[in-house]
Amino acid sequence: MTTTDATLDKTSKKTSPNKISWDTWAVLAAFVAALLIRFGVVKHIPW
Amino acid sequence: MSETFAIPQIKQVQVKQAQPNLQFLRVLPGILLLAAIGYAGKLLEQNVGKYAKSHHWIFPNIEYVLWAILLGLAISNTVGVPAIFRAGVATYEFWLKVGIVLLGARFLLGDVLKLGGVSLALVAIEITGAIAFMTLLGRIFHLKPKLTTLLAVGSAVCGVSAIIATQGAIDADEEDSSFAIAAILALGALALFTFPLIGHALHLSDHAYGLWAGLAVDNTAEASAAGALYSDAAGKLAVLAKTTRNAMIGFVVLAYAIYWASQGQAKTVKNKAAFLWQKFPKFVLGFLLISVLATYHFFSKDQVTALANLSRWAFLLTFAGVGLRTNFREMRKQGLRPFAVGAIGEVVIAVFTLGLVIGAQKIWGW
Repeated sequence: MTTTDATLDKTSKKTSPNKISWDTWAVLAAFVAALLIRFGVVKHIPW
Repeated sequence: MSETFAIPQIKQVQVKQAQPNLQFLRVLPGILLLAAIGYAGKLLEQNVGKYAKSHHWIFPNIEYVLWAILLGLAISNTVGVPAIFRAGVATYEFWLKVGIVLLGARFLLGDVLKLGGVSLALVAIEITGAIAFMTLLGRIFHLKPKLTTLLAVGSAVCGVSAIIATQGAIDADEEDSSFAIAAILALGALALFTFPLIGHALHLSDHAYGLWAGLAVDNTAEASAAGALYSDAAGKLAVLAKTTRNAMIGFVVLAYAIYWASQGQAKTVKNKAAFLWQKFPKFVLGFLLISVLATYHFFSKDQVTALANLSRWAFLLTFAGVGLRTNFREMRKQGLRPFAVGAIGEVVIAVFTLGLVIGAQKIWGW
């Protein structure tokens, strides 16, 4: 739970109870990135 | 509300604007600002040292983490963050969570279970001690009981997130949560600069320092930054220890919600399992799942390196955001007493957790 999630959760009770939290979006984004790397769509990330 | 970027403004920005869908254009300027500051920090790390060396100057090697935070602090505390960037800057916690999930690829499950087990034991002691001590301090300083609860949860578990989650669960005032958040953030900012100095002065190993930062620094972004300022390995450990602490948030908030409901001052929790799931930080599960995949060689060695680098880029945006959202002028306005309670509590918790970590270091020989 993050600041953003907590505040969103509070507002989401008033609007849409099934809205996906930022926390979940972050996990989904990370997994999409991981799969793109895993299946060779993105081959190299420089640092 | 002033023109500068302040803590209460962050909350408003997130409440009104932080919708994951169809808000991309509103957050884009702020995200670009985070990226620009983070990248500038990286360039400064690479070039300032080289320049100083070529001119035979003695200049300490400053990591990109500190440069990014300092650049953000300089902007936030001089010209302020213009309104167009605020919604995007508020996404820094999103990048933090993305970075933590991806960091899971650098931990094999065995390491997570071993280190997580040690962390869990230390976290349990830290949470119990911190809540007891902060409650006592709140009574001594005659703070309002719910403000004391918010400060106790913020110091014991998970900083700002825990405070906001608890505020909703115990029906505390917005003003109390603003006080508690300001105190926790101000102390987190101080920890960024003091913890690495103390760690070096005590010659702590990366392992011991990382655990200490993860146990004692309250907000996840500051804990990750305080760890990374020491070393890459310490940063990893700080994230792991802090993630273990974050996983406890639901249980602590639930306990307080039940207590305040029993006092007739909060709504009764009907479905405890649903409450726990709602409060549980989902990125902890993402971190564990990536770690399981890495353990079973779902990713090649090069792919793990790519994931680790992507995690660093995500943290780069986070560290820029830590600097940008820290405004000392706004923090001063929040009043002295909650800050004093928070400061005394944080110092005692920092010393207490340092003792725990040094004790554990002797037992496990890190």
